[in-house]
Order: sequence, then C-alpha cells, then structure tokens
Amino acid sequence: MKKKAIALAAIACSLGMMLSGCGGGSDSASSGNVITAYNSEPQNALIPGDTNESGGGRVLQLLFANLVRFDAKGDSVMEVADSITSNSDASQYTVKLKDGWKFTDGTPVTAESFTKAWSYTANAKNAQKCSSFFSMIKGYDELQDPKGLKGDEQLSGLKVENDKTFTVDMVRPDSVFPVKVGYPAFAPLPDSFYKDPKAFGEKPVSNGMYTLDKWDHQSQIVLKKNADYKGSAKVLNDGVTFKIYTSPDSAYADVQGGNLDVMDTVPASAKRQFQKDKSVIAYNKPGSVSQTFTIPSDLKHWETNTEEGVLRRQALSMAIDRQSIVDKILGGIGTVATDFTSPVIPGYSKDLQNSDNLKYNPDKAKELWAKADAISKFDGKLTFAYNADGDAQPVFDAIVNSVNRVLGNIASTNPMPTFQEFRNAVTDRSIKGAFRTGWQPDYPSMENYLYQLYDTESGNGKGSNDGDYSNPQVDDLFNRAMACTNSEEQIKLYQDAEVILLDQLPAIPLYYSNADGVAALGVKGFTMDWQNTPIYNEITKN
Amino acid sequence: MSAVDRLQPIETLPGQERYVAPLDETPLREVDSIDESAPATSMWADAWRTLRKNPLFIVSAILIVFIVFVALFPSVFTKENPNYCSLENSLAGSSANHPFGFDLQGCDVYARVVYGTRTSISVGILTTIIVVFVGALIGAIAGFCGGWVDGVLSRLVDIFMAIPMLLGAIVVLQMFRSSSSIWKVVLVLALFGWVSVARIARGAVLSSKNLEFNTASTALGSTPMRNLFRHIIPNSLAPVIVIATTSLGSYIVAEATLSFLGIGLPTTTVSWGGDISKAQSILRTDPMVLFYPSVALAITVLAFIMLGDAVKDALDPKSRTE
Amino acid sequence: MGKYLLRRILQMIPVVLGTTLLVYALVFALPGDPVKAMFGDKPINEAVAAQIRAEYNLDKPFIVQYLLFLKNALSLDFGQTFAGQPVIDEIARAFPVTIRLAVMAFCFEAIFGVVFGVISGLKKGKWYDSVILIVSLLLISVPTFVTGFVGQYVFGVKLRWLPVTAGSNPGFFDLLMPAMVLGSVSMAYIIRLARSEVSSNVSLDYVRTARAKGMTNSSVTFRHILRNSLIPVITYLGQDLGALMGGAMITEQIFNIHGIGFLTYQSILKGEANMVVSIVTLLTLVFVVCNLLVDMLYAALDPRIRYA
Repeated sequence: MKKKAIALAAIACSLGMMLSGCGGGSDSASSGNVITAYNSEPQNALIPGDTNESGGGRVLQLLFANLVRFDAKGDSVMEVADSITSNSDASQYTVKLKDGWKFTDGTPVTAESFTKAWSYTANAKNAQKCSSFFSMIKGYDELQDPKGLKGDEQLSGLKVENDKTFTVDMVRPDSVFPVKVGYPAFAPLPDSFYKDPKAFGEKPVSNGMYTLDKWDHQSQIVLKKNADYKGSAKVLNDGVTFKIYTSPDSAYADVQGGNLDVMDTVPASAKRQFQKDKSVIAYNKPGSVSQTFTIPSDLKHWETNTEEGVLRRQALSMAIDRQSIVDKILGGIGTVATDFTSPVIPGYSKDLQNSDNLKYNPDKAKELWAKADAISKFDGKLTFAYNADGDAQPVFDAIVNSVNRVLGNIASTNPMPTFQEFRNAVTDRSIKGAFRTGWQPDYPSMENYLYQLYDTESGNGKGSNDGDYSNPQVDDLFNRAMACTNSEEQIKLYQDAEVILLDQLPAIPLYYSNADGVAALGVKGFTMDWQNTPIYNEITKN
Repeated sequence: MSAVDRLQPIETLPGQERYVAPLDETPLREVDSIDESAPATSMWADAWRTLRKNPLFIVSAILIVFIVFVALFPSVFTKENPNYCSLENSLAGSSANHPFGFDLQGCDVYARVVYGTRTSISVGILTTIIVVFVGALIGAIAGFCGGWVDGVLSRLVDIFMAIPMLLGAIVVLQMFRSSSSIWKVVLVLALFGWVSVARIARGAVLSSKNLEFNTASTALGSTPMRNLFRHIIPNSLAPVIVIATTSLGSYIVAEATLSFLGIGLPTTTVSWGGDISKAQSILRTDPMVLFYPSVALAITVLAFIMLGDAVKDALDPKSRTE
Repeated sequence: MGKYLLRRILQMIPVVLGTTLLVYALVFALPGDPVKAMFGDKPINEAVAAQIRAEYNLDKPFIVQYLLFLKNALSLDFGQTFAGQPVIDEIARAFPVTIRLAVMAFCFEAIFGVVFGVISGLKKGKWYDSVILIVSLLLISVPTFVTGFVGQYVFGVKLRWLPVTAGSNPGFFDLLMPAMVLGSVSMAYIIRLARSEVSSNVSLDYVRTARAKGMTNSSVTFRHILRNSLIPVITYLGQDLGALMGGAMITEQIFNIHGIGFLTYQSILKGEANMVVSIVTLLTLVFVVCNLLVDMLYAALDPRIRYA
C-alpha cells in the first residue's frame, strides 16, 4: 500500500513536470524593429467610445486617427480634418476632411464615419462609457432614455453636408471642441462596426498609425505598422507589441532583464532609484496628471463659502510640506503643485495670485487656523480617504503627519480597500472628510482641468465636481471662456477663475505626477508626451 | 493552552481511579511509586514535570515572557513616540537615540518595532487561540463521530477552504469599518484559519481512534465520550500543537499580507506586519527598514515554535517513554 | 468502498450549492457598485450605467441574480466578464497555467518538506536539525511578497540564473522560482509536521520490535516510521494543493503569471460575481477531490481506518 502511495505521488509529480515542460517560452519574439511595451489587459472590448482606462487607451490611441492629434507638447495638429471652423461664439462648427484616408478594410473615411460613430457612442441604448463626452452636442438629451431607443438614432446636432463635410451644432458655446475631438472616443468607425460591434471589439478595423494584428487575451496585443496611414506622425518602427502584465513591478523587472522594451509607469518600489539604475534607460519630466485632495464644499467647519472654512482650507494647505513629500516619498518623481492645471498645458502659470496658499508655511498656517478657531472651534478630526489598492498610502501618511505636526492632532487617514469602494463613496457623497482626487486630462486644455472639476454644472453627480463646489463668479468666467474663440483671452479668463479657486481651495493641489518611464538598454528615441504616454511610434531599437 | 485548561474537569469524573491505561507505558519505577489517592500523576502533571526539565522549554519561555513584557510595557524600552514622524528624518541611518534609524516617513524604526510588539503578539495569540479551539473541536467531532456528522463538517471545511481570503476579508472588514480594533483582523484570520487545524485534527483523531489502547479502554467499559477526552484527544494533540504554534507566526505574517493588499489594520496602528508591508516598496534601496521588524517577527516565531515542540514532547504519551 | 465513494460524490452537490450561494452573497456584499467603478474618475452617465446593470442582471434582487446564474450554469453558460469575455474562456486560459504552477509548488514542498522533516526528526538535536529549523523559521516569518520580490531581484535580475517573470504560456524554468516561492511556507510547515511525527514514532514499541528483529535501519525507517508518520503530513498536503491554486494571488502578480490567483484577485476588485463564483466552484471541486484522495490514502497508510 505504501508503495502505491509513493507511486501515486511520483506519477502526480512527473505529470506536473510534463505539463510544465510542454509550455514553450515564445515570449521574447520581439525581433526586427518591433518594440514591446507594457500594458495591462484592456477592461473593455477595443471600441473607442467604450474605453475609458489606460489598458485599452494605450492601444486605441495607436490604432485610430481622429480629426486632430496632439503632438508631444500637447498642441493639436490637423489629422483627418482639413479644417475645423467655428461661428463667432463657438456654438457651431464646420468640419472638412482631408482626402485619401482609408480604414484598414479599404473603405474610405467619410463625414458619416464620424457622425455615425459619435451618435452611436452618445446613444444610451448602446451603453458606451464615454457617452457623456458628447453631451455638448445638440440632440444628446433625446438619446438618454434607452427605453424608446433602438440604438441607431443620430444626434440631431450633427449634419452631413457631403462626403467630406459635416456641421456640429452645440447645446451651448464650447470653444474647446476643436481640441476635444482629439480624445480617443471621438474616433471614426467603419460601416462594418455596426454589423457586429462585438467582433469589432476583438479585432478593430482602424485608420491610424497601426493596425491590430492579434489580441491574445491576458498575454499580448500585437500591432503592425499601417502602410496606408496618411497622417503627419512619423512611424519609425514596424510594430508595437503590448505585453500584458499582472503588475508594473513584474514589468519593471522585465525591463531590467531586457525582456521588455518600454514601460510608461514606474512602480512605487522602483521610484526612488530607477534614475540611478544602470540596467534601464530612465525618463522623468514634469507631467500632466494633477494630484489633489478634495474636501466637500459643504463640510461643517470647512465650507468654501464661509470665512472659517476658507481660513481652515488655507491653513491646511500651508501645513503640508509638499516639497519634502515630493523629494522623500516620491523620490523626486513629481513637481510641487502651484495651480489647478499642470505645467504641460497651454496657459499654465506658476505665479498666479494666491498661489502662495499652496506653499508650505507652518507659522502662517497656525495663525490662520487660530483665526478660524476664534470663529468656531473645530474639535473633530479631518479624515483623508483614499483607495489602498494604488500607491497613495505613503503620500497620505505623509500629509497627515505633516498636518498633525503643524496644526496639532487634527488629521487621520481613512484607507478604503478597493478603488471601487472608494469611488462609490465619492460619488455617493458619503465621505465626511477629505478624499483623494487626481485628474488625468483627456485632452490638453485648461477647460478639462477647470470646467469639468469646479463648475456648478459639473456638480451634484452630473460631472466630475466631486466636492460640489459652486461659485457664480467662477461659473461666469468659465462661461465666458467657453464662448471665447481667441485662445489668449480664453486663457486669461481661465486664469482669473483659478485665482478665485486658489483662494477658496475647493480642492487642495498637491503635486503633478511626472511623466516617468523606463526603457531597456539599446532602445532609441524613448520620450513621453503631454499625457505621460510614450511616443510609441518614434521608438526604435537595433 | 486554553484547550488544555478546559479539559481539566475531566480528571474528576467518576471511574478515574480505576484508569489503568498508562501503566504499561510507564517505566516500572514510576508505577511502583504511584500513590492512588493523589491526582498529581495525571497526564498533565506528568507533562509539566517533563516540561520543567526541558531546556528548549526554558529558553522559549524566557523569550516569550520577555516579548510579552515588551508588549505590555513598551515605554520601558523607548522614550520615542512611534507615531511622531518627520520627513526630515526620512530613511536617516542609525544614531545614538535611534539605533535602528528611520523609515520612509521619518518614524523611529526601533520605537515602531517596540510598540508594534503588542499589536502583532495580540493578533498572533488571539487568532491562534480561536483557531485551535474551534478547529480542533470541529475536527475532533468530525473524526470521532464519523458518518453523516463527519460528512457535514468536512464539507463545511471544503467550502471554507475554497473561499478566497481576500474576498471574505474585504467583506468582513467592511462590516466593521468604524472599529479600529485588532479584533476585525483576528476575526478574518480565524475565519479562514480554523479549517486547516480542523482537517489536521480530524486526521489525527481518525488515526488514534483505532489504536490499541482505545479498543482496550472500550473493552474495559469506558464510554465513547470518556474515550474521546481521555485517550483520543491527548493522542491527537501533537500535530495540532505543532500546527498551532507554527501558525502563530504565520498569522502575524498574514496581517502583513492583509496590509499589503490594503485591508489590514488601520495605518495608525503600529504593527510589525504593517511596517513590513510598508517597507516592501523601499526594499531595493533600504532593506534595513524591512529587516528589523522581520527579525522581531522571526524571533517571536522561533520562541513559539520551540515552545510548541517542548509542549508537544511533554504531552505526547508516545515520546514520554524515553 | 464503492458505496462510500458514491456517497462522497453525492455530497458534492450540496457543497457546490452552498459554496456558490455563500460566495455570490459575499461578492454581493462587497462594498461599492461595480458599474459605477467602471467609469473611473469620469462622470457617470446614469442611463448608460442602467443599461449595463440590466445587461449583467445587476439591477435584480440578490436571490434572482443567484438563481439566474445557477440556471445558466446548468447549461454550462457561466456568463460574461465586464470586458465582454466569456467567463469560461478566461478560466480555461488561466487554469492550465495555475495547475502547472500548483503542481510544481506541490512537488517542491512535498519532496523537500518530507525529506528535511524526516532527517530533522530522525536526528533530533543534531546541527542539521538546527539549520533546518532556522531555515523553515525564516520562510514562515517572511511574507511571500518579500520572498518573491527578493528572489526575483537576486536570482532573476542580478544573477540571471532564472527567468525574471513567467509571462504567458510559461515553461518549467519560467515557473521554477514562482513555484519555490509559493511552496516555501507550506514546505516549512511540512518540515515541522514531519519532524514532530517522526520523532515521536522513533521510540515506539513496534519500532523497537522491528529493530530487535534485526531489520536494517533504512527498512525500519521506511516501512515503519515513515508510514506511520505520514497521516498528518498527507492531510496537510491534501488541503494545500487546492490552496496553492487559489492562493497564488501575490506570487502570480509578482512573477506576471496570468493564472487563477491573479484572475480571482482582479475579479474580486472589480466585483465580477460570475467570475468569482465560477472560480470558487471549480476550486471547491478540487478541494473535495483532494480531500477524497487524502481520505483514501488514510485507509491505504493505516489499515485500521476503514470506510463503509
């Protein structure tokens, strides 16, 4: 009997070895001028209007060409569009397309490729997650009750004039529309998409720099250079293979080992030393992601419309030693915040009036805090909520330590296990304290950082104004900027609004995450753009 | 140990005086000296006598007493506040008043190791007590009763084994969101820990149920319950004790893993596990920050493993024949 | 025996039902709304969210959701992930990798655990007993996320002895380090268990009798001591095989292995009830089968244990 048992174990083990042996390591097949890049498994099918996270975003951005594209600095460049012209108050646009653009299935890119795609995404029946990006186009509201819809109804504000021209009527002035259309959700779709969206999502037919060769789920997404690409971006390699990783840590180890060419994020465990790491090429420049925390505008003692609340917000902001947090906790991979936008956005300024409120000043902080206490005593604790499944924990520990040392024991952390739970608490407005907010811009414009986050219209669950901040003065400045087609005047109006925001601090800016990434030794041309994304098409290796 | 204590009243059951089973396992010299009126010759007293002479036990007992002392009176060992952290000191090396240096947040590592003792030891001991009590009881009942009772209990164990700890932990911790005590972590660890002890206990009971002394005692008219507590449980305790004392350390480590997954103790609670998980992100550059709490943890684990070995040797009637 | 087997197989039905219900309830109780989380930081379009909820039956009461899942599962339709992939495909992709990893880890811990444990138990108090104690102690007191990380850095990145990560379709060497990391803690347990069992059996009567009969040392060790010491070890190993499959969350993340552990981790974070329940049901079956095998082995190792 004992022999049987041992034999059984031996069989089990050798079976295991055989099973293990039969897998072949065909991973490192990045030959020629095909570069391999880090990615996580896309959380949706590869449909532009349904993708709102980086796993799918990285891929779609290379697959599709929109009306405009953004260059490395964040300026928009005409791509499929020949021109986008507006009327005097930016409430109507005429879009003319260039000739010769084709999808990879050979069909031409026409005005309908855009209007039908946008209507499809906007139409609630189709349950596309980027639907609300089209809310400024006329006819959007009529497409929001799925019960009466079939899914093919069109936005009434989009009118096709001919194959290469269409007009867009806005619900309200929207001067940023010509920039917005560079966001991936505004991509054109071929006719074949509507026949079988599901199949399309597995293998999209596109019109951009690359075409999808194959998508092996949980393993890799292989893109090949699109020979028919007509745009102005230079594609210097023959393809990009996205390898799907379980965590950035494992990907970083692969870059060190030379098994992966590029990754656009540096794991927390490597942040402090990747620039000294001789086994990788490091990249680190100021970036566009703005890290803040928000205190609900109506939180008792912290209101944005009372003197006490504003004093407390300013005191709190001045009690945070941002420079030390960036230097020590982030290992220098960040830039201390001086406004509500970010350094790579046209119109950014680091010397706005009231920006002193974002500077570490313990004495002033104590003074303002005492003033606020004189109005009404605060004897509770301000909690800082964040999701613990990211890298936020050390930063918020440091904030709380910094605040407690300056203002006395008034702060504590409130980590929530998952992003899901955290966002839910934020959108339900159930957090009675500060919470982490961060903003990765969708398109390079001040509007995206300001209107979307601090306008009254964006509050109360309708937008991303999670603190429900509301100030008629700010709203007015925003409205004027939206109707203003002169970009310099537009910037001035947004900056004026920022001065008010810097005084009332609906959210407290902390730092701008740097665009940081690593490439394997031997990789050439590794740079990152305004969106903290590598310019994949310009990367080569020998 | 509590499981052991609870069994004491059995000693006073009627019929005990006529109990003869240990005679053939005990050297004659000792048999000769038996005083039938004194209950001190019970298995537990014997165990204690053996234990006292075991150097393994003495060393581990001293260590554990010391660790418990640190846990009870941390301020005797350091004047520093483990929660006073300043980024100026971030990752500063050791100095006269700060023998272990500072962590990323600029907190004194030595103070944190000292103050973390209480949390970590409490998590370890409380979880072990609950796990052993519940696990051993259910396992023993399943193994002893057999039949449908075994079926039901064993399948319950199967179900619990398959549920991912992460899932259960998130849900349980959510239910006790407002509480910052260590009990919720203990509860989670116990909820998922008892099953492995139950399986082990069931296996051990199954194998000792059929041993000769048991059959003999049944033949002498002993009731099944008496058999269970007097013979089967003592004979099955060894593997359970080994698993329990070895697990104690792993529960402290599990607390670190929970922290690593973002669902552990509140970050304001100082614990070895929490500190180990925080130090993981700076492991490449500053391994010493992770080293100190790990060493404290390793010493604790060692102490309890040694204690477990000693107690097991003393209790195990088989190895007492030496 | 046949009757016993049949009964055990029939018992699987309530076990599977119980597990699915319990796990479905747990996922349902997870804080947060999975649909809302799909929108990330971006504004939530309630009409779209409602559409998605309807598509995944998330708008129905808990018990209806569960019964619908069961009904579909009976026709082998386990639903779709939020990314639109059939759950069954995802599991079919992940499971083979996990089996390879788990079996390798299992062999590693069984072989080394028993060998070291027996040596330790036979030579109690010798210097190698102490060395084995210290090593197993270290393995227990260092969390997997540290062992894995250090192993990867030292043997993968620095020394380049073993692949840094496993990637998709990993081979034997790709999984060698993850398997050792995964199996290391259990190996330490097995060492402790085997040592304790062997050392208490060494001095038993039947061993002395065997020696007195003039049996050789090795034959006493193998035919008597080992066989009688193995029951708790086998119990532990039996329950560990299942645990290795489900419990590799951290190891799989560190070494980029797209297996069941990682899939479970992701699905729990996203609140994908169908996926979590399907995986757990599968794991339950693995546990039930493992435990059945263990119980059979009991009878094989110890003729006094009989099942009827």
